[in-house]
Amino acid sequence: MIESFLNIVTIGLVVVALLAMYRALVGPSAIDRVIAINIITTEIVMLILIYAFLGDTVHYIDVALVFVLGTFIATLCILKLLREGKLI
Amino acid sequence: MWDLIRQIAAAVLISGGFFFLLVGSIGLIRLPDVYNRMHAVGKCDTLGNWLMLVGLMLLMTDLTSVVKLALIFALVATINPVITHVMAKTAYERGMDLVEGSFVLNTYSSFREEERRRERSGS
Repeated sequence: MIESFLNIVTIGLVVVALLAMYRALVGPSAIDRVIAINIITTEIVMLILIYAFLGDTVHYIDVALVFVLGTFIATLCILKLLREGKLI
Repeated sequence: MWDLIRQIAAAVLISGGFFFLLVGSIGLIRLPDVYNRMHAVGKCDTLGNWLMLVGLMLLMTDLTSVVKLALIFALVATINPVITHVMAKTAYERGMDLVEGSFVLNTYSSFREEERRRERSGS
């Protein structure tokens, strides 16, 4: 029962990520795109965790942990590039 | 019996988290302004993440997995406010337009304008 429920939630998360992808495509400024990419990465983390439960592969939780840290650094780098015009 | 109760509680929590993520995404599309979009995303994203993580914590039977999920919980709780703060500061310093009909109600903006004028006259 819980497996079919999580399958439905997976499809819903993909739909939400597509909604955010619309804003990432048509967003008028760069900050809009950064916000949209940030929410898409959030949903990808949730998808990885749900798949780790569904496929009974608990090692994927480590993948989600590293993904959170990587997206944090990536978003900070993009924002620093927008603020200062250079990265280093 | 105990297993069924746990699964139902997890399903309710995951549904709540999905609802908040959906509301944040709809707000990201519908709202007219960068700051409004940031307002929609910055809170709904964090709360949806938390609810889904707690629901998955109820589902996992392994203690190691629960501790790793708690670590992701703490990371989200610290990372999302930092990212939202830096995004708002960047949008403000780039002088992004407010939506028509809104007004600025702080002293920081007049301070920034004064500083910019001084820089311009100095250079």
